[in-house]
Amino acid sequence: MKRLRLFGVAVLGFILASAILAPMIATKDPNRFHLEKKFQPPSAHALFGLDQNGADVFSQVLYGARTSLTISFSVVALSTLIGLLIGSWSAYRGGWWDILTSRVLDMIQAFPGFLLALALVAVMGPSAQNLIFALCITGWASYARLVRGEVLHLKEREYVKGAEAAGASSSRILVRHIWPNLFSLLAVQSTFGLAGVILAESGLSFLGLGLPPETPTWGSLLNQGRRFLVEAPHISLFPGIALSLVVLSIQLCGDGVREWLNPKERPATIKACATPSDNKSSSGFKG
Amino acid sequence: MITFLRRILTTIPALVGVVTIVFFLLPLVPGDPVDLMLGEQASSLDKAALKHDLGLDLKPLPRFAKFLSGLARFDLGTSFTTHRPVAAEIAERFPATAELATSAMALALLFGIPFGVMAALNKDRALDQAARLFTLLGTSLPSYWLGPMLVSIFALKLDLLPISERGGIEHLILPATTLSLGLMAILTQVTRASMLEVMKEDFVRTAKAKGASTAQVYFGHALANAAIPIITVSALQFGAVLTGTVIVETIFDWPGLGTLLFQGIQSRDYPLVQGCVLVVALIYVLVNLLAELLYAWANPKVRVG
Repeated sequence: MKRLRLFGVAVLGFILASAILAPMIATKDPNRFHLEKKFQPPSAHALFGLDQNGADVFSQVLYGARTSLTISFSVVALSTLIGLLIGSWSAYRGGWWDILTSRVLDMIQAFPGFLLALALVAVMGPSAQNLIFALCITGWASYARLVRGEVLHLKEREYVKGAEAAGASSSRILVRHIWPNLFSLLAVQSTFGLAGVILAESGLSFLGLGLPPETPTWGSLLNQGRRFLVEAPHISLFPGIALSLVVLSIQLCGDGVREWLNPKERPATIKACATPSDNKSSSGFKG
Repeated sequence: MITFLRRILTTIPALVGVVTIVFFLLPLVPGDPVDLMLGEQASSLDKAALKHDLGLDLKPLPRFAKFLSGLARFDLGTSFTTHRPVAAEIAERFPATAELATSAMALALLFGIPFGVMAALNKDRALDQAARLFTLLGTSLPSYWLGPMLVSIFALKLDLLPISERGGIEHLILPATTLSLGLMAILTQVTRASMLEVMKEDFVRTAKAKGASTAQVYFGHALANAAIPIITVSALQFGAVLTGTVIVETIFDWPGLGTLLFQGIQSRDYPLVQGCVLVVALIYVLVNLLAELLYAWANPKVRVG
């Protein structure tokens, strides 16, 4: 398992680096067409082959990584931030503010997330801002709920009561005493969340709903490629591999992050002492 | 009984949420939805008629009342492209989606649970490793890549199965497999973990000691007790299967709600989009309620508490 996680970290690092360095690595313009060479299979000249317009698939996959990852990271960062602010504030203050937040969370989570994002993007039209907005609307609720639950526990702790007695303000208590305790929870949740957002973003782009058609994303590349499965399977093969590898390696990293931040969950140490026959099943499990 | 009733009542806020969110979709359309649907050149008479039809000539509150009273009569408005009632369109497409979603669900249960049990029985051996790998791959391969790949292998290269459209069972195999893989992977993982948990219990040892056969012990005693998380996860994941149909139906040209929604989006047929989103979301809420009721029924501790 450990080797598999290292593999995950390595693959993710490699793809992130290629996405950041895309303009240096991809020597060809992803939007430059060579119609006479369309459907050319992979070769030393064009690593991933050429698509139906004769554009370089390798460059498209690299630039697609840039777009898909930028959007997904922004969505996760924004959702986490909104969830942290709203969730911790409502749990800490309680009262009508908390009731209101809980009702809003119930409403959003009653909706299947992908469908809501799809409906929002469909009515608002394709653009990066709309895509990020739609995915954040559906995304922040799970972070807020998680944070709210944890803060309800934390605010009863002695050190928080102590700080209150010493006259610290609500915002100081939240920032200094409560937020640091949420770090590991949010780190794990947002790592797994990233995989979900990447899949959702690509799914929307696949349906032609994410970004304007001229921007290459993994989803739109897969959508183009599926029309030429016979002539040129390479068009959808490579973006598909890239997407699946990223999601897979993020999941492996998520498991790693969880174990690293919650040593109690490490199966080999504490659990094994309690019951010698215990198993590792709980570690590979979404919490 | 009271617990069941209370659970049914807790669905009401969710229903209100779904209806409210769907209602607010139309005002989110940038600019004037009527202009977008009819084009700038349409006559002002047509525009006014459509505006009235959509209720856009009303203030928000009366419009919401109109929307609700329509819902109460199963009136979801009229499709702008086909000029037929949206409810009729949806009723026509619904069986195809139901067929696809339930087959995918059945496939996932049929393969996921036995695979999970076998993995638990062979913990840390090759079969278990295979199950872990399957879980990882199943949750990482998106349907919009898996689907086209399956088509290119089984339909185009090997010519074993038809590519698309609805028909006999052979038409169902590829779309249902594509749709079920993710859930199958999750079920394998949950079954494995739940079985490992249960197999440590005393009653399993007792059953073994009194001489029950291996199959009786594992499939009778252990699996029955490991079932609660499996039931809960399957029912909760049914929502994912349901939304997954939008993509899978588009890939395989499956004439269900997903393709209807997609058509609606492409032709900016907002009443149709609203109707499809509403119906899928309502089914999702009801399935989640069913999951809770099943859970309460399977777990007496919850029923009493």
